[in-house]
Amino acid sequence: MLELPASSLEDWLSNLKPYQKGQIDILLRENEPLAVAQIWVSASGPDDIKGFGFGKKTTPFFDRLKTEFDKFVCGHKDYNEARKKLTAAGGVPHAVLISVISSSLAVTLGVLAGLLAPAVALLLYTASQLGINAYCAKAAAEDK
Amino acid sequence: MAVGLTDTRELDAFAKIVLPVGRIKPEGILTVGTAWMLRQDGLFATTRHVVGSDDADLCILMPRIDGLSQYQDLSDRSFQFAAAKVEELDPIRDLLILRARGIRFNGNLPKIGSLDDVLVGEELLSFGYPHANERVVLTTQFSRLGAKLYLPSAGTKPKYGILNVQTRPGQSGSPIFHPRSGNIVALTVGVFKGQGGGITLGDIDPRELNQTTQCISAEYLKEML
Repeated sequence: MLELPASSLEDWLSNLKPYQKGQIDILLRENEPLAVAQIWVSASGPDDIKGFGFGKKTTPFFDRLKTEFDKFVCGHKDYNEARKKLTAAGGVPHAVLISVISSSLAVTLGVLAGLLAPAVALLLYTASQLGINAYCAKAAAEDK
Repeated sequence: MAVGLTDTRELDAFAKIVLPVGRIKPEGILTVGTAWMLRQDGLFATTRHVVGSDDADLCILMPRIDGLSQYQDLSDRSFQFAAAKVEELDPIRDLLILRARGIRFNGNLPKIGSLDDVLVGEELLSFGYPHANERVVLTTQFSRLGAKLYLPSAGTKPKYGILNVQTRPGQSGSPIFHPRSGNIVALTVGVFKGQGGGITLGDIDPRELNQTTQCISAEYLKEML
């Protein structure tokens, strides 16, 4: 399992870009951190606008993101190599945790790491608040 | 860059800085939308939905004309392009910044403004690639700002404008230029479609055929740079 510092939400979010943090802060006024993570990765602009681009349609993937995140922080072998980057004496900086985990999950999910970073920060906060053992036990129970 | 509205020669720089976004496919390049240069070293703005959630095989097509009034040769299907990668994306405001290696521009770029600077009824110009999946034609459109609004998006309320002009797929990401200030004040996003089902005729939803083009204020791009 990954050791996580029990930091405040502000500590985790201060590592995001200002345009990300500004909107996350607004969403947190009315939503729990886990719900905000889902809103962020699922958003695609206002509902009643038909976009005039020919890009690939975005499909919801928060459940997959949460599953892969849980595998990462709870010690699944799929992420052994990536987790090795996150062992440092004195603790790994929040920004490095967010960046390495976002990059690893982005490869698995086939999406941009930049899209995942705010959601990963919120998931890390959620896991760190519960304590990693309790979080992983809860995740395992939910998975059954 | 302020000009008289009947003479677009001073706007010829837009022929060099408003370029199609493409995906490299085995059968050729599929053009998916419009992007415009934010910085001379190859940083471009567009909408997120033009790209989606991954930037594999993404590219920006090189300019093919030097000025807006040049004839664009549609018999020439050869395109030069530069590979592009996503630098920043904002899924809630539907904005995205791309970096294209190998594209530079040495002239002055218009500044990024805001819909705050525009009065309802003022004239605006857009530059983009309508019908981009079928042909690549840089097209200039004149319109007026019809309304300013806060449009709910995932619990936030970004600033949007309504242009009284019809747009078509491919124009997402188009810069909206405000002649009075000389700034780019918004980006084309799409059209109002409302909720609920509709019909399609020849792949066209008649509800999309309206003159209420939706554009988002360009000011949000500043936070992403």
